[in-house]
Amino acid sequence: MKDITLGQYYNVDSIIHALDPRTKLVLTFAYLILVFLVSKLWAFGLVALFAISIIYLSKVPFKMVLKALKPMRFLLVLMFLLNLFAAKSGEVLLKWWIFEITAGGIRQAVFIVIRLLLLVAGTTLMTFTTTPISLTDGLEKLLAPLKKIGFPSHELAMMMTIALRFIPTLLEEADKIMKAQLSRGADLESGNIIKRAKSMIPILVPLFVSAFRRADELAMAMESRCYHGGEGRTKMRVIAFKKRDAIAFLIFASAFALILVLQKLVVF
Amino acid sequence: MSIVAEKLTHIYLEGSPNESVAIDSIDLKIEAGEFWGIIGHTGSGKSTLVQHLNALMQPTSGRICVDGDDLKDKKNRREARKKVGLVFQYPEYQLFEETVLKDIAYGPMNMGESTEKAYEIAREAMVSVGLSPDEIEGRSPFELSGGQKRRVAIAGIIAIRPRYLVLDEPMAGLDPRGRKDILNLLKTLREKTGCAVIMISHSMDDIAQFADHVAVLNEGKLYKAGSVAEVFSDMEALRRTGLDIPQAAILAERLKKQGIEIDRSIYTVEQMLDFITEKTGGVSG
Repeated sequence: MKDITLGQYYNVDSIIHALDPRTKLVLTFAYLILVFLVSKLWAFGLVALFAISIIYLSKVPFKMVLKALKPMRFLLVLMFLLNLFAAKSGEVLLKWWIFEITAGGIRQAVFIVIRLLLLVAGTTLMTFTTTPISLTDGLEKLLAPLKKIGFPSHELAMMMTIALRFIPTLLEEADKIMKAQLSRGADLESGNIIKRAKSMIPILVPLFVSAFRRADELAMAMESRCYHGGEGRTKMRVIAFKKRDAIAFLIFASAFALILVLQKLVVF
Repeated sequence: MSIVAEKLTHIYLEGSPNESVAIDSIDLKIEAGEFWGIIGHTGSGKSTLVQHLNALMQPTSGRICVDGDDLKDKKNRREARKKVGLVFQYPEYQLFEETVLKDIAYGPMNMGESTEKAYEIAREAMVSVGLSPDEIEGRSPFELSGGQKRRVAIAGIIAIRPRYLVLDEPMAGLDPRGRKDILNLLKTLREKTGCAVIMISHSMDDIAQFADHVAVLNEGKLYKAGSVAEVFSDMEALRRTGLDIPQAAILAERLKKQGIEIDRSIYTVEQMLDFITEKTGGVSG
């Protein structure tokens, strides 16, 4: 459980940390689109270079980003193999029984791995540099215009905040229940997969019961403090769009435009 | 037949910046059949200590033996969980089965009893916590009252038939009546089965009245341990740790200040009552 770095905040002071969460959300989104628009190997190199310079600016150690990528290794291998054999286009390089490796297949397999790596590195950097609270605040502000068509942006943000807040609490609770059942002789380690899944019931049932109980209590506590949704609610920390956000937008826009234009113009 | 802790130390997150010493070289010997009270402030290491007793936690250094078997050896751990029954704080939150009977039988079945036998043991455990099997065994544990749930959870551990019953604040959150019921059932259970009881409690009065031995923890260290009479003979030392002192002992102290001679140590209400009836010749008022 300790190895889960995805969605974790890394507390240092940097220009990236200081940006408005809305800026980071929008730019991360733009970056995701860019990663899918790029389709040449050297262009991926440029994107990676750009991502690396942003990581450098954020003062988050590269080691931390790599650690976040580590849990993906099985997924990457799987995606690579699937694409290698499934995508069939271009010259056939190897043929064995029903398996066929084509030039197009290799290309697509390599691309999908690079894309996934760049995607996760980018989004991880966002969560590394933005606290969950300001992230949900930013999301709420971004989605605010949708309120006009009845979209519950504040409620959605509140739900996200609460969910994030309760992850450590529930982990702790799970640990406690697990220990309690171990004390009653529960065997969680041996047996086949069905037996092991069954042995999780005594842990999952109390965990769900407790999650619902906590939700109930929290709802009651919020209501007794007169919470009634986002209507007319002010924030303690007001997020504001500053000059550095404008600069960030400019830099990102020009870098992305440059990469896309180069890709279009250069033939190879 | 005893649980022995030697230089038992547990450090959380050792080597990280958040490292903290939960318990620090604790030496303790609990003999079979004894009734121990464990007291100490929040964060003094009581819960960490008791989780070592049935090998849920492993010591950072030092060792712990149950009936001579070192719990460092993995083979001994399962046996230790059978011998040492641990009731967690708010144990009612671990109930999960459809019926009370099945829930209580979960422990004995894990320990290898047949379903028939486990149900039989479960019914006995129900009786020993003061619940009537006919009334309650078929009901869902989730529809019981708070006090009943607590008893069902304790019965779930009693059904393992431990030689040492360890309870982490078994009375937390109960009303005075519920507290008394739990204490009395522990007393009866010990008399009937001869099992040792090790109970964490914040109430000095309860410990003074029911336990025969006390361990006082302070900031992870064993501050005092011994018979109730020994530990309560030095009230000043207890007061220095900021712990409460039994009501009867406070009264005895005040009487002494008033110039009344008290020829014995008094720390329970019964002792005080005996003393007063003796002094006044049994005449009340």
